[in-house]
Amino acid sequence: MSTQFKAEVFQNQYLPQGAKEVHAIMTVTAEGSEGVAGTHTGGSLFGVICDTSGSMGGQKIYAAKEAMVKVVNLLPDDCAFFIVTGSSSARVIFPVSIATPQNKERACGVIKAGLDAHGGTVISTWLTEALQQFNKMAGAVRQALLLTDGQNDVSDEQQLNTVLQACEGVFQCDCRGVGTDWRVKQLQQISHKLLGTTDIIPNASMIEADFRAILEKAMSKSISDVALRLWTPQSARVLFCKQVSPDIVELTHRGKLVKPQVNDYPTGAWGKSESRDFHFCIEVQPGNVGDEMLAGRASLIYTVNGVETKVAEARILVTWTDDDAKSTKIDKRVAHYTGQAELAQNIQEGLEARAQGNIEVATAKLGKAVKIAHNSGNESTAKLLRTVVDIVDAETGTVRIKKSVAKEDEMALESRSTKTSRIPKSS
Amino acid sequence: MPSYKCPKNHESTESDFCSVCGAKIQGSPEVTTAVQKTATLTCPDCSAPHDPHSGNFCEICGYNFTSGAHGDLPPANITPTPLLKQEELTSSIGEKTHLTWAVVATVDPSLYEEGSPQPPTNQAPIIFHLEKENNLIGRSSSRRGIYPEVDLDFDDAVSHRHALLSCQPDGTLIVRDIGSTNGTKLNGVELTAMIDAPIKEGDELTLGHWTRMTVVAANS
Repeated sequence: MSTQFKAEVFQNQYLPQGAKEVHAIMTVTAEGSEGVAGTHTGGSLFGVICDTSGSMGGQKIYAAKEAMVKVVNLLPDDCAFFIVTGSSSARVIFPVSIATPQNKERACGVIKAGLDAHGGTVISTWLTEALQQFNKMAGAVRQALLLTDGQNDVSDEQQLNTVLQACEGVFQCDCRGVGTDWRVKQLQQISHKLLGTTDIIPNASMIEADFRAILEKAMSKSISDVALRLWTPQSARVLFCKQVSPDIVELTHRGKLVKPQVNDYPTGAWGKSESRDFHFCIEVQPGNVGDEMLAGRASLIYTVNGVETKVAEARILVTWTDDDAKSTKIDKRVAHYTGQAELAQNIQEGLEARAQGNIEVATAKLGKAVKIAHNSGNESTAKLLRTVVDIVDAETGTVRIKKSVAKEDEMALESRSTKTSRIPKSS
Repeated sequence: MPSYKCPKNHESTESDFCSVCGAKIQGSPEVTTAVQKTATLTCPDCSAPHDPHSGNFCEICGYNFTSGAHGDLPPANITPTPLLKQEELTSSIGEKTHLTWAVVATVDPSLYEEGSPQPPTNQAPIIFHLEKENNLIGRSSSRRGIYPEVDLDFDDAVSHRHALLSCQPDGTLIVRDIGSTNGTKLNGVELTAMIDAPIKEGDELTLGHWTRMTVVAANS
C-alpha cells in the first residue's frame, strides 16, 4: 500500500445527564510514500467539458481553446483524456485516448480547428456524453473539468437532475464559470453532486492558470472511490455528517445504507498528503451517569476490483457525567467548525438578502460573517467579504454594505463561502 | 467470526464496544484469558470485575447487572480500569510471579482527631492475606450481606464498602477507594474515589478514625 491514511477524532466525550447529542471532528490525513504510483492500478482519466454555446463567442472561446491546448500538453503520458464540447447538444471532439505525444498533437489540432461558438446551453447533454466516456475506463481515477459562461437552459432542469443522478459516483467534476453571466447555485448543484468545486474565472485570460491548477490537483489523486463509513449504535440517529475542511460539503443525505446501522458517505478521490476534516453529530439514547458507550465508528473504505479495504478507523465515544466541569467544555475543533459553518450560512443568507434589497438583514448577516471570519482566522474569506462590505470594526462585526459591488466579487464570495480555515496550529 | 457479549446481552462482533448498541464491553477477551477465567464483566459502577456465574449483583457495590440498578454506592464518575496492554500481559504470563500480598491493620492512636471516639487500646494488629483477586476493605454487615475480606469492624468510621485492593495479573497491587464516606489516604495523600492507585510494599493506607494499614509483600 502506498497511501497511508490516518484518522483522528477530536471531541468532548463527556455529556451531562440526559443529553444525547454527540459532536466530533475527525481529521483524516493521507500520506503517500514516494516512488510508488499508488494503490491504484487503473490509471487516471481526465475529461474536459467545454462550453461552446453562442455566448462563449469571441475572446472567451479563444482563451478556452488556448487553455485546453495547454492542459492537453501538460497531461502526463500515462494518463488518459477526452474532450467534450457542448452547446444545445454535446459532441465528443476527442474520445478517450492515452496522452501519448501523437494523441496530444492530434487533440490540439482538433481543438484549434473545430471549435466555434453557437447554440444554447443544455448541460445535461454534455454530462451525458462525458458519462459515456468515463464508463469506458471504470477502473481509473475519473475526474472532469466543466467550463461554462452562461446559465443552463431553463427547460433542462429536470433532465439535469436525472443525468447528475447517473453521473454520481462515476466521475468527479470541478466546475468553472467564466465571466459573470452564470449562476453560482447552478454550478454548485453540479459540483456538489459530483464531489468537485465551483469557482469563478472573472476574466477569460485567467482560464489557463486555473486549468493548470485543476489538472495538477487531479493528477495528484491516487485513490478513487473512497467512502466514509459510519457505524452508529442501534436507535442512534446521524443528525448530520459533513466534510468541513478544506471546504464544507454536506454529506448527511448522501449516505448509502450498507447494512443496518452502517452508512457509506462518498468522499471521492484522495491525493497523496491530502488532509480533510469531517464533522459528525450523532443523537444517541441518553445513558446513566458513568455509562460509556460508542456513539460512532468512522472508517475510510476504498474498493479496488470489488474488494473493500478499510484504511483508517476512529471511534466517537460518549461518557455521561455529573461533573459540569467536564460536560460543559466544548472541543475547540468542534467549536471552530461550527463557527465556520455559521460563517458560510451567514454569507449565503446575507448575499441573498442583499440581492432582495433587504439591506438591514444583509448588514446583520454579513457583519456576523465578518466577525466570525476575523475571529477564526479565515483570512481568505475575510478578504472576499471586504469586497462586499466596508468593515468598521471586525471585532464586533460592524459593517456597512458597499453601494456598488462588482458582480464578480459577489459571485466569488458566494462560490467560495464554503471554504473553511483550519484551526491555527499555535492555539 | 468471534463474538462478544455486551452488558446488554447483545452478540457483538467488535471486542471493544458492542456492534449493536455501542455499550462498552467490559473485560476484553485478552485480559480474561490471561487471568484464566471464562468471561468476566466489569461493574459499570465500581469497575470491579464480575463473574457472571456468581450471580446478578456486583459483589463489591451491589450493582444489579440485569436491571442496571445501582447498589449502595452513589453512581460516581467512573474512570474505567485501564486495560492492560497486550505485551504486558504476555510477559506476565511467561514469568509467573509468586508474589502474594498482605496488609497489616493496626490502631494508631496518633491518628486520633477531635470528635472521634477514643481509640481502643487492646486491638492487636491484624494480618489480612489478600488471597482473592479483589479484596474489599470495609465493615461487615449481616443485614446488608457485606462480608469484607479486609474486615475493619473495630473502626466505625470505615464505610461498609470502603475500598478495594486488587491483585493485578502482572503481580502488582492497586487500591481504589470505592466512594467511601470518610475517604482513604495513601501515604498521607487523600485518594480520589474510583481512581486506581498502584501500591507497593511498605505503603500505608490510613482510614476511618484511627486505622493504619501497611502493605506487606510475601513470597509464597
